[in-house]
Amino acid sequence: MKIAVAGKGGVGKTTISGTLARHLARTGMPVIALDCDTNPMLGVSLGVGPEETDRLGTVRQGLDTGEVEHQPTTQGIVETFGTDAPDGVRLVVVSRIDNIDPG
Amino acid sequence: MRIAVVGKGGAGKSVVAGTMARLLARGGDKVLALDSDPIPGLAISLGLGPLDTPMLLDAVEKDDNGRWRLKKGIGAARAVQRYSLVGPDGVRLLQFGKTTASGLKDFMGSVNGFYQVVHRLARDDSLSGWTIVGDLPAGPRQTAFDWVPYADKLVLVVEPTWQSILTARRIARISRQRSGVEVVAFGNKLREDGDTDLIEERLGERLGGSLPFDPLVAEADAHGKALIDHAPDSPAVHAIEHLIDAISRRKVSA
Amino acid sequence: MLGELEQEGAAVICDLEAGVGSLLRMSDGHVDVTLAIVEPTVKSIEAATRAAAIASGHGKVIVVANRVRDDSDTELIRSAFPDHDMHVIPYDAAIRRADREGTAPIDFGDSSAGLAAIAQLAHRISRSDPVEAA
Repeated sequence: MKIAVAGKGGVGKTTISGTLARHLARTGMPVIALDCDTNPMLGVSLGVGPEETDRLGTVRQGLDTGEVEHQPTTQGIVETFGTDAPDGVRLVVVSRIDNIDPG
Repeated sequence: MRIAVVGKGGAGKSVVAGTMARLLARGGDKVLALDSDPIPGLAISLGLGPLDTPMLLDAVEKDDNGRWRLKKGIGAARAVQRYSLVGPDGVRLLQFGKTTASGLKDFMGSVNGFYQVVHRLARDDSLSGWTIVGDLPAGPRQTAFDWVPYADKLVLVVEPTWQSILTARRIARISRQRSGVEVVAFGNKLREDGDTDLIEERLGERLGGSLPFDPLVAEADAHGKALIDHAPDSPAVHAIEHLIDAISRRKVSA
Repeated sequence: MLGELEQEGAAVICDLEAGVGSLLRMSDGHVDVTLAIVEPTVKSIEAATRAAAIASGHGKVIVVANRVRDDSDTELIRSAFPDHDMHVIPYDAAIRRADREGTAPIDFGDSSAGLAAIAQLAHRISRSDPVEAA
Protein backbone atom coordinates (compact mmCIF):
# COMPACT_ATOMS: atom_id res chain seq x y z
CA MET A 1 0.00 0.00 0.00
CA LYS A 2 1.42 3.35 -1.03
CA ILE A 3 0.53 6.49 0.88
CA ALA A 4 1.56 9.98 -0.26
CA VAL A 5 1.51 12.85 2.23
CA ALA A 6 1.18 16.33 0.74
CA GLY A 7 0.48 19.92 1.77
CA LYS A 8 1.86 23.38 2.35
CA GLY A 9 5.09 23.76 4.28
CA GLY A 10 4.63 23.73 8.03
CA VAL A 11 1.19 22.09 8.26
CA GLY A 12 2.55 18.94 9.92
CA LYS A 13 3.22 16.53 7.02
CA THR A 14 6.43 15.17 8.45
CA THR A 15 5.17 14.90 12.00
CA ILE A 16 2.05 13.07 10.79
CA SER A 17 3.98 10.84 8.33
CA GLY A 18 6.45 9.72 10.96
CA THR A 19 3.86 9.11 13.63
CA LEU A 20 1.60 7.29 11.17
CA ALA A 21 4.51 5.09 10.11
CA ARG A 22 5.17 4.08 13.71
CA HIS A 23 1.47 3.33 14.35
CA LEU A 24 1.15 1.24 11.17
CA ALA A 25 4.27 -0.68 12.10
CA ARG A 26 2.76 -1.46 15.47
CA THR A 27 -0.21 -3.13 13.74
CA GLY A 28 2.31 -5.65 12.45
CA MET A 29 2.76 -4.57 8.84
CA PRO A 30 6.22 -3.88 7.42
CA VAL A 31 6.61 -0.16 6.87
CA ILE A 32 8.98 1.75 4.61
CA ALA A 33 9.13 5.44 5.40
CA LEU A 34 10.30 7.26 2.29
CA ASP A 35 11.54 10.80 2.78
CA CYS A 36 10.96 12.53 -0.56
CA ASP A 37 11.70 16.00 0.75
CA THR A 38 15.00 17.44 -0.48
CA ASN A 39 15.13 18.96 3.01
CA PRO A 40 14.63 15.63 4.78
CA MET A 41 13.34 15.65 8.36
CA LEU A 42 11.30 12.43 8.56
CA GLY A 43 13.90 10.80 10.80
CA VAL A 44 13.12 13.29 13.56
CA SER A 45 9.42 12.37 13.69
CA LEU A 46 10.27 8.69 13.51
CA GLY A 47 12.52 8.90 16.54
CA VAL A 48 15.92 8.56 14.87
CA GLY A 49 17.12 11.78 16.51
CA PRO A 50 17.80 15.23 14.99
CA GLU A 51 21.59 15.11 14.61
CA GLU A 52 21.45 11.56 13.29
CA THR A 53 18.76 12.59 10.80
CA ASP A 54 20.98 15.41 9.58
CA ARG A 55 23.75 12.94 8.83
CA LEU A 56 21.79 10.22 7.05
CA GLY A 57 23.01 9.05 3.67
CA THR A 58 20.66 9.40 0.74
CA VAL A 59 19.82 7.22 -2.26
CA ARG A 60 21.03 9.96 -4.60
CA GLN A 61 24.41 10.12 -2.87
CA GLY A 62 24.74 6.37 -3.00
CA LEU A 63 23.95 6.25 -6.71
CA ASP A 64 26.28 9.19 -7.45
CA THR A 65 29.18 7.58 -5.64
CA GLY A 66 28.57 4.35 -7.49
CA GLU A 67 27.66 2.28 -4.49
CA VAL A 68 25.17 0.47 -6.65
CA GLU A 69 26.37 -0.28 -10.15
CA HIS A 70 23.41 -1.78 -11.90
CA GLN A 71 19.68 -1.15 -11.77
CA PRO A 72 18.81 -1.67 -8.13
CA THR A 73 15.69 -3.48 -6.96
CA THR A 74 13.26 -2.12 -4.42
CA GLN A 75 14.60 -4.61 -1.90
CA GLY A 76 18.13 -3.56 -2.78
CA ILE A 77 17.40 0.13 -2.30
CA VAL A 78 15.73 -0.41 1.05
CA GLU A 79 18.51 -2.66 2.29
CA THR A 80 21.42 -0.57 1.03
CA PHE A 81 20.18 2.93 1.66
CA GLY A 82 17.73 2.47 4.50
CA THR A 83 18.20 3.11 8.20
CA ASP A 84 16.46 1.35 11.01
CA ALA A 85 13.94 3.40 12.93
CA PRO A 86 11.95 2.29 15.99
CA ASP A 87 9.14 -0.28 15.70
CA GLY A 88 10.95 -1.87 12.74
CA VAL A 89 10.24 1.00 10.38
CA ARG A 90 12.81 1.26 7.62
CA LEU A 91 13.64 4.87 6.66
CA VAL A 92 14.92 5.70 3.17
CA VAL A 93 15.95 9.25 2.31
CA VAL A 94 15.84 9.96 -1.40
CA SER A 95 18.03 13.07 -1.68
CA ARG A 96 19.11 16.17 0.16
CA ILE A 97 20.08 19.63 -1.01
CA ASP A 98 23.29 20.45 0.82
CA ASN A 99 25.16 22.61 -1.65
CA ILE A 100 24.64 25.32 -4.19
CA ASP A 101 23.80 23.88 -7.55
CA PRO A 102 26.78 24.33 -9.84
CA GLY A 103 24.71 24.07 -13.05
CA MET B 1 18.84 47.01 1.37
CA ARG B 2 18.38 43.86 -0.66
CA ILE B 3 17.13 40.96 1.37
CA ALA B 4 15.48 37.60 0.92
CA VAL B 5 13.48 35.82 3.58
CA VAL B 6 14.15 32.10 3.89
CA GLY B 7 13.43 29.23 6.25
CA LYS B 8 11.47 26.05 6.79
CA GLY B 9 7.83 25.89 5.73
CA GLY B 10 5.41 27.57 8.08
CA ALA B 11 8.09 29.58 9.87
CA GLY B 12 6.42 32.85 8.90
CA LYS B 13 8.49 34.00 5.92
CA SER B 14 5.67 35.72 4.02
CA VAL B 15 4.43 37.60 7.08
CA VAL B 16 7.97 38.82 7.87
CA ALA B 17 8.72 39.71 4.24
CA GLY B 18 5.39 41.44 3.65
CA THR B 19 5.48 43.42 6.87
CA MET B 20 9.09 44.46 6.30
CA ALA B 21 8.24 45.65 2.79
CA ARG B 22 5.34 47.80 4.04
CA LEU B 23 7.37 49.26 6.92
CA LEU B 24 10.32 50.11 4.69
CA ALA B 25 8.03 51.77 2.17
CA ARG B 26 6.48 53.87 4.93
CA GLY B 27 9.95 54.86 5.95
CA GLY B 28 10.46 56.36 2.49
CA ASP B 29 12.15 53.55 0.56
CA LYS B 30 11.17 52.56 -2.97
CA VAL B 31 10.34 48.91 -2.36
CA LEU B 32 10.19 45.98 -4.76
CA ALA B 33 8.69 42.81 -3.27
CA LEU B 34 9.43 39.52 -5.03
CA ASP B 35 7.44 36.29 -4.58
CA SER B 36 9.05 33.22 -6.12
CA ASP B 37 6.71 30.69 -4.53
CA PRO B 38 4.66 28.55 -6.95
CA ILE B 39 1.82 28.94 -4.43
CA PRO B 40 2.31 32.66 -3.84
CA GLY B 41 1.30 34.25 -0.55
CA LEU B 42 3.26 37.51 -0.40
CA ALA B 43 0.41 39.47 -2.02
CA ILE B 44 -1.81 38.64 0.96
CA SER B 45 0.88 39.64 3.45
CA LEU B 46 1.35 42.91 1.56
CA GLY B 47 -2.35 43.73 1.72
CA LEU B 48 -3.10 43.06 -1.95
CA GLY B 49 -5.29 40.04 -1.31
CA PRO B 50 -4.85 36.63 -2.97
CA LEU B 51 -3.33 36.85 -6.46
CA ASP B 52 -2.91 34.10 -9.04
CA THR B 53 -1.57 36.22 -11.89
CA PRO B 54 1.46 35.11 -13.85
CA MET B 55 2.81 38.61 -14.19
CA LEU B 56 5.61 38.21 -16.69
CA LEU B 57 3.92 36.40 -19.57
CA ASP B 58 4.04 39.50 -21.76
CA ALA B 59 7.64 40.24 -20.91
CA VAL B 60 9.01 37.15 -22.62
CA GLU B 61 9.25 35.47 -25.99
CA LYS B 62 10.86 32.27 -27.29
CA ASP B 63 14.19 32.46 -29.08
CA ASP B 64 15.26 30.40 -32.11
CA ASN B 65 16.10 27.47 -29.86
CA GLY B 66 12.68 27.53 -28.22
CA ARG B 67 14.02 28.96 -24.98
CA TRP B 68 12.31 31.74 -23.09
CA ARG B 69 14.00 35.11 -22.93
CA LEU B 70 13.04 38.63 -21.93
CA LYS B 71 11.88 40.66 -24.92
CA LYS B 72 14.22 43.20 -26.40
CA GLY B 73 14.35 46.39 -24.36
CA ILE B 74 12.96 44.72 -21.25
CA GLY B 75 15.42 44.65 -18.42
CA ALA B 76 14.77 44.64 -14.71
CA ALA B 77 13.68 48.26 -14.48
CA ARG B 78 11.22 48.09 -17.35
CA ALA B 79 9.87 44.73 -16.21
CA VAL B 80 9.10 46.23 -12.81
CA GLN B 81 7.70 49.40 -14.32
CA ARG B 82 5.35 47.57 -16.68
CA TYR B 83 4.43 44.33 -15.02
CA SER B 84 4.58 44.73 -11.27
CA LEU B 85 1.49 45.45 -9.24
CA VAL B 86 1.42 48.46 -6.92
CA GLY B 87 0.04 47.81 -3.47
CA PRO B 88 -0.54 49.69 -0.22
CA ASP B 89 2.22 52.13 0.73
CA GLY B 90 3.41 51.99 -2.89
CA VAL B 91 5.15 48.63 -2.58
CA ARG B 92 5.59 47.03 -6.00
CA LEU B 93 5.09 43.28 -6.26
CA LEU B 94 6.37 40.85 -8.86
CA GLN B 95 5.44 37.15 -8.84
CA PHE B 96 5.65 34.48 -11.52
CA GLY B 97 2.20 32.96 -10.99
CA LYS B 98 0.39 30.18 -9.17
CA THR B 99 0.66 26.48 -9.91
CA THR B 100 -2.46 24.79 -11.26
CA ALA B 101 -3.52 21.14 -11.46
CA SER B 102 -1.22 20.84 -14.49
CA GLY B 103 1.66 22.50 -12.69
CA LEU B 104 3.57 25.49 -13.98
CA LYS B 105 3.75 24.44 -17.61
CA ASP B 106 1.08 26.85 -18.86
CA PHE B 107 3.14 29.82 -17.79
CA MET B 108 6.74 28.67 -17.92
CA GLY B 109 7.45 31.90 -19.78
CA SER B 110 6.54 33.89 -16.69
CA VAL B 111 8.67 31.62 -14.48
CA ASN B 112 11.67 31.99 -16.77
CA GLY B 113 11.07 35.73 -17.11
CA PHE B 114 11.03 36.11 -13.34
CA TYR B 115 14.29 34.18 -12.96
CA GLN B 116 15.94 36.33 -15.62
CA VAL B 117 14.65 39.56 -14.06
CA VAL B 118 16.13 38.70 -10.66
CA HIS B 119 19.46 37.94 -12.30
CA ARG B 120 19.38 41.24 -14.17
CA LEU B 121 18.66 42.96 -10.87
CA ALA B 122 21.83 41.48 -9.48
CA ARG B 123 23.96 42.42 -12.47
CA ASP B 124 22.61 45.77 -13.69
CA ASP B 125 22.61 49.16 -12.07
CA SER B 126 18.93 49.56 -12.73
CA LEU B 127 16.86 49.96 -9.59
CA SER B 128 20.05 50.57 -7.64
CA GLY B 129 18.27 52.96 -5.30
CA TRP B 130 15.50 50.50 -4.56
CA THR B 131 15.02 48.29 -1.54
CA ILE B 132 14.26 44.69 -2.47
CA VAL B 133 12.47 42.15 -0.27
CA GLY B 134 12.21 38.62 -1.63
CA ASP B 135 9.98 35.89 -0.20
CA LEU B 136 11.02 32.34 -0.99
CA PRO B 137 9.19 29.02 -0.79
CA ALA B 138 10.01 26.59 2.02
CA GLY B 139 13.41 24.99 2.47
CA PRO B 140 16.82 25.33 0.86
CA ARG B 141 15.90 24.62 -2.76
CA GLN B 142 15.77 28.12 -4.24
CA THR B 143 18.74 29.33 -2.21
CA ALA B 144 20.76 26.48 -3.71
CA PHE B 145 19.46 27.12 -7.21
CA ASP B 146 20.42 30.79 -7.27
CA TRP B 147 16.97 32.38 -7.13
CA VAL B 148 18.18 35.28 -4.99
CA PRO B 149 21.36 36.56 -6.65
CA TYR B 150 20.39 40.14 -5.73
CA ALA B 151 20.34 39.56 -1.97
CA ASP B 152 23.11 40.86 0.24
CA LYS B 153 21.31 39.64 3.34
CA LEU B 154 19.23 36.55 4.00
CA VAL B 155 16.73 36.79 6.84
CA LEU B 156 16.54 33.24 8.11
CA VAL B 157 13.29 32.70 9.99
CA VAL B 158 13.55 29.94 12.62
CA GLU B 159 10.97 28.44 14.97
CA PRO B 160 11.91 26.71 18.22
CA THR B 161 11.61 23.21 16.77
CA TRP B 162 14.43 20.89 15.76
CA GLN B 163 13.11 20.59 12.20
CA SER B 164 13.11 24.35 11.78
CA ILE B 165 16.59 24.65 13.28
CA LEU B 166 18.08 21.87 11.13
CA THR B 167 16.59 23.52 8.06
CA ALA B 168 18.03 26.88 9.09
CA ARG B 169 21.47 25.35 9.58
CA ARG B 170 21.31 23.82 6.14
CA ILE B 171 20.17 27.05 4.45
CA ALA B 172 22.87 29.05 6.26
CA ARG B 173 25.57 26.57 5.15
CA ILE B 174 24.35 26.66 1.57
CA SER B 175 24.10 30.44 1.36
CA ARG B 176 27.57 30.87 2.78
CA GLN B 177 28.94 28.94 -0.17
CA ARG B 178 28.43 32.20 -2.05
CA SER B 179 30.43 35.21 -0.98
CA GLY B 180 28.93 38.53 -0.07
CA VAL B 181 25.76 37.22 1.52
CA GLU B 182 25.16 37.85 5.19
CA VAL B 183 22.77 35.64 7.09
CA VAL B 184 20.60 37.10 9.87
CA ALA B 185 18.67 34.57 11.91
CA PHE B 186 15.29 35.68 13.21
CA GLY B 187 13.36 33.65 15.76
CA ASN B 188 9.61 33.28 15.29
CA LYS B 189 6.69 31.87 17.28
CA LEU B 190 8.69 31.87 20.48
CA ARG B 191 6.57 30.84 23.46
CA GLU B 192 8.89 30.06 26.32
CA ASP B 193 11.66 31.93 28.06
CA GLY B 194 14.28 29.42 27.05
CA ASP B 195 13.38 29.48 23.36
CA THR B 196 15.95 32.11 22.30
CA ASP B 197 18.77 30.21 23.99
CA LEU B 198 17.49 26.92 22.61
CA ILE B 199 17.56 28.22 19.03
CA GLU B 200 20.89 30.01 19.35
CA GLU B 201 22.61 27.01 20.87
CA ARG B 202 21.34 24.49 18.34
CA LEU B 203 21.64 26.81 15.38
CA GLY B 204 25.12 27.88 16.35
CA GLU B 205 24.53 31.58 15.90
CA ARG B 206 22.91 34.53 17.63
CA LEU B 207 19.48 35.68 16.65
CA GLY B 208 19.27 39.13 15.08
CA GLY B 209 15.83 39.48 16.59
CA SER B 210 12.80 37.49 17.49
CA LEU B 211 9.06 37.46 17.31
CA PRO B 212 6.91 35.97 20.05
CA PHE B 213 4.04 33.69 19.19
CA ASP B 214 1.36 36.25 18.43
CA PRO B 215 -2.27 35.13 17.91
CA LEU B 216 -2.89 38.36 16.00
CA VAL B 217 -0.77 36.96 13.16
CA ALA B 218 -3.09 33.96 12.78
CA GLU B 219 -6.06 36.29 13.07
CA ALA B 220 -4.80 38.51 10.25
CA ASP B 221 -4.35 35.41 8.11
CA ALA B 222 -7.85 34.16 8.94
CA HIS B 223 -9.22 37.47 7.68
CA GLY B 224 -6.98 37.37 4.62
CA LYS B 225 -5.42 40.66 5.64
CA ALA B 226 -1.89 41.96 5.98
CA LEU B 227 -0.68 41.90 9.58
CA ILE B 228 0.24 45.59 9.41
CA ASP B 229 -3.34 46.45 8.42
CA HIS B 230 -5.09 44.09 10.80
CA ALA B 231 -2.94 44.69 13.87
CA PRO B 232 -0.55 47.61 13.31
CA ASP B 233 0.32 47.83 16.99
CA SER B 234 0.86 44.14 17.61
CA PRO B 235 4.00 42.75 19.27
CA ALA B 236 4.73 41.04 15.95
CA VAL B 237 4.85 44.30 13.98
CA HIS B 238 7.07 45.91 16.62
CA ALA B 239 9.44 42.97 16.55
CA ILE B 240 9.72 43.31 12.76
CA GLU B 241 10.45 47.04 13.16
CA HIS B 242 13.31 46.08 15.49
CA LEU B 243 14.54 43.57 12.95
CA ILE B 244 14.73 46.31 10.31
CA ASP B 245 16.73 48.49 12.72
CA ALA B 246 19.07 45.62 13.50
CA ILE B 247 19.66 44.82 9.84
CA SER B 248 20.18 48.46 8.86
CA ARG B 249 22.82 48.88 11.52
CA ARG B 250 24.78 45.80 10.55
CA LYS B 251 27.65 45.97 8.12
CA VAL B 252 28.00 43.35 5.41
CA SER B 253 30.97 41.19 6.29
CA ALA B 254 33.49 40.66 3.50
CA MET C 1 12.42 4.37 -10.10
CA LEU C 2 11.44 5.24 -6.57
CA GLY C 3 7.97 5.90 -7.84
CA GLU C 4 7.70 2.15 -8.28
CA LEU C 5 8.96 1.37 -4.80
CA GLU C 6 6.42 -1.12 -3.53
CA GLN C 7 6.63 -4.18 -1.41
CA GLU C 8 4.15 -7.00 -1.01
CA GLY C 9 2.16 -6.56 2.17
CA ALA C 10 4.14 -3.51 3.22
CA ALA C 11 3.12 0.08 3.58
CA VAL C 12 5.24 2.73 1.89
CA ILE C 13 4.68 6.21 3.27
CA CYS C 14 6.11 9.05 1.18
CA ASP C 15 6.63 12.33 2.98
CA LEU C 16 6.61 14.80 0.10
CA GLU C 17 8.31 18.16 -0.22
CA ALA C 18 6.21 21.21 0.67
CA GLY C 19 3.93 22.40 -2.12
CA VAL C 20 2.54 20.38 -4.99
CA GLY C 21 5.59 19.95 -7.20
CA SER C 22 6.40 16.43 -6.00
CA LEU C 23 2.78 15.36 -6.15
CA LEU C 24 2.62 16.41 -9.80
CA ARG C 25 5.66 14.30 -10.58
CA MET C 26 4.17 11.33 -8.77
CA SER C 27 0.79 11.40 -10.40
CA ASP C 28 1.64 8.81 -13.00
CA GLY C 29 2.90 6.44 -10.33
CA HIS C 30 0.72 4.17 -8.28
CA VAL C 31 -0.57 5.77 -5.10
CA ASP C 32 -3.31 4.11 -3.03
CA VAL C 33 -3.99 6.95 -0.60
CA THR C 34 -3.06 10.64 -0.70
CA LEU C 35 -3.27 12.50 2.58
CA ALA C 36 -3.77 16.21 1.95
CA ILE C 37 -2.69 17.80 5.21
CA VAL C 38 -4.27 21.13 6.05
CA GLU C 39 -4.43 23.55 8.98
CA PRO C 40 -7.21 26.05 9.63
CA THR C 41 -5.40 28.75 7.62
CA VAL C 42 -6.23 30.27 4.25
CA LYS C 43 -2.86 29.48 2.72
CA SER C 44 -2.72 25.84 3.74
CA ILE C 45 -6.27 25.29 2.49
CA GLU C 46 -5.16 26.78 -0.83
CA ALA C 47 -2.27 24.34 -1.15
CA ALA C 48 -4.33 21.34 0.00
CA THR C 49 -7.04 22.20 -2.56
CA ARG C 50 -4.39 22.00 -5.28
CA ALA C 51 -3.07 18.75 -3.87
CA ALA C 52 -6.52 17.16 -3.65
CA ALA C 53 -7.27 18.19 -7.25
CA ILE C 54 -4.02 16.71 -8.54
CA ALA C 55 -4.49 13.49 -6.58
CA SER C 56 -8.13 12.97 -7.53
CA GLY C 57 -8.46 10.02 -9.86
CA HIS C 58 -5.27 8.50 -8.49
CA GLY C 59 -6.45 6.45 -5.55
CA LYS C 60 -8.20 7.70 -2.46
CA VAL C 61 -7.79 11.19 -1.03
CA ILE C 62 -8.24 11.96 2.65
CA VAL C 63 -8.13 15.56 3.85
CA VAL C 64 -6.37 15.57 7.20
CA ALA C 65 -7.28 18.64 9.24
CA ASN C 66 -4.37 19.23 11.60
CA ARG C 67 -4.07 21.45 14.70
CA VAL C 68 -7.82 21.94 14.93
CA ARG C 69 -8.80 23.85 18.07
CA ASP C 70 -12.55 24.22 17.83
CA ASP C 71 -15.65 23.69 15.72
CA SER C 72 -15.08 26.85 13.69
CA ASP C 73 -11.71 25.44 12.59
CA THR C 74 -13.39 22.20 11.54
CA GLU C 75 -16.09 24.12 9.73
CA LEU C 76 -13.59 26.30 7.86
CA ILE C 77 -11.86 23.20 6.53
CA ARG C 78 -15.04 21.23 5.95
CA SER C 79 -16.48 24.05 3.85
CA ALA C 80 -13.35 24.06 1.67
CA PHE C 81 -13.63 20.30 1.10
CA PRO C 82 -17.34 19.49 1.23
CA ASP C 83 -17.09 16.24 -0.72
CA HIS C 84 -13.89 14.76 0.66
CA ASP C 85 -13.25 12.19 3.35
CA MET C 86 -11.86 14.13 6.27
CA HIS C 87 -9.96 13.20 9.39
CA VAL C 88 -9.48 15.65 12.23
CA ILE C 89 -6.35 15.86 14.37
CA PRO C 90 -6.85 18.26 17.27
CA TYR C 91 -4.18 20.74 18.31
CA ASP C 92 -1.92 18.90 20.70
CA ALA C 93 0.58 20.69 22.93
CA ALA C 94 2.40 17.40 23.50
CA ILE C 95 3.13 17.09 19.78
CA ARG C 96 4.41 20.65 19.74
CA ARG C 97 6.71 19.86 22.67
CA ALA C 98 7.97 16.75 20.94
CA ASP C 99 8.86 18.84 17.88
CA ARG C 100 10.69 21.26 20.14
CA GLU C 101 12.68 18.46 21.75
CA GLY C 102 13.33 16.60 18.51
CA THR C 103 11.63 13.46 19.81
CA ALA C 104 9.13 11.31 17.98
CA PRO C 105 5.68 12.40 19.20
CA ILE C 106 4.74 8.75 19.67
CA ASP C 107 7.60 8.36 22.15
CA PHE C 108 7.00 11.59 23.94
CA GLY C 109 4.64 10.66 26.67
CA ASP C 110 1.12 9.66 27.46
CA SER C 111 -1.25 9.36 24.59
CA SER C 112 -2.85 12.70 23.94
CA ALA C 113 -5.74 13.80 21.72
CA GLY C 114 -3.57 14.47 18.67
CA LEU C 115 -1.70 11.19 18.95
CA ALA C 116 -4.93 9.25 19.43
CA ALA C 117 -6.30 10.83 16.27
CA ILE C 118 -3.22 9.81 14.29
CA ALA C 119 -3.58 6.27 15.65
CA GLN C 120 -7.18 6.28 14.40
CA LEU C 121 -6.00 7.49 11.01
CA ALA C 122 -3.54 4.59 10.87
CA HIS C 123 -6.36 2.21 11.66
CA ARG C 124 -8.58 3.77 9.02
CA ILE C 125 -5.91 3.53 6.36
CA SER C 126 -4.86 -0.02 7.14
CA ARG C 127 -8.47 -1.18 7.11
CA SER C 128 -8.92 0.27 3.64
CA ASP C 129 -5.86 -1.53 2.31
CA PRO C 130 -7.11 -3.88 -0.45
CA VAL C 131 -4.67 -6.60 0.62
CA GLU C 132 -5.79 -6.39 4.24
CA ALA C 133 -9.47 -6.27 3.35
CA ALA C 134 -9.28 -9.33 1.10
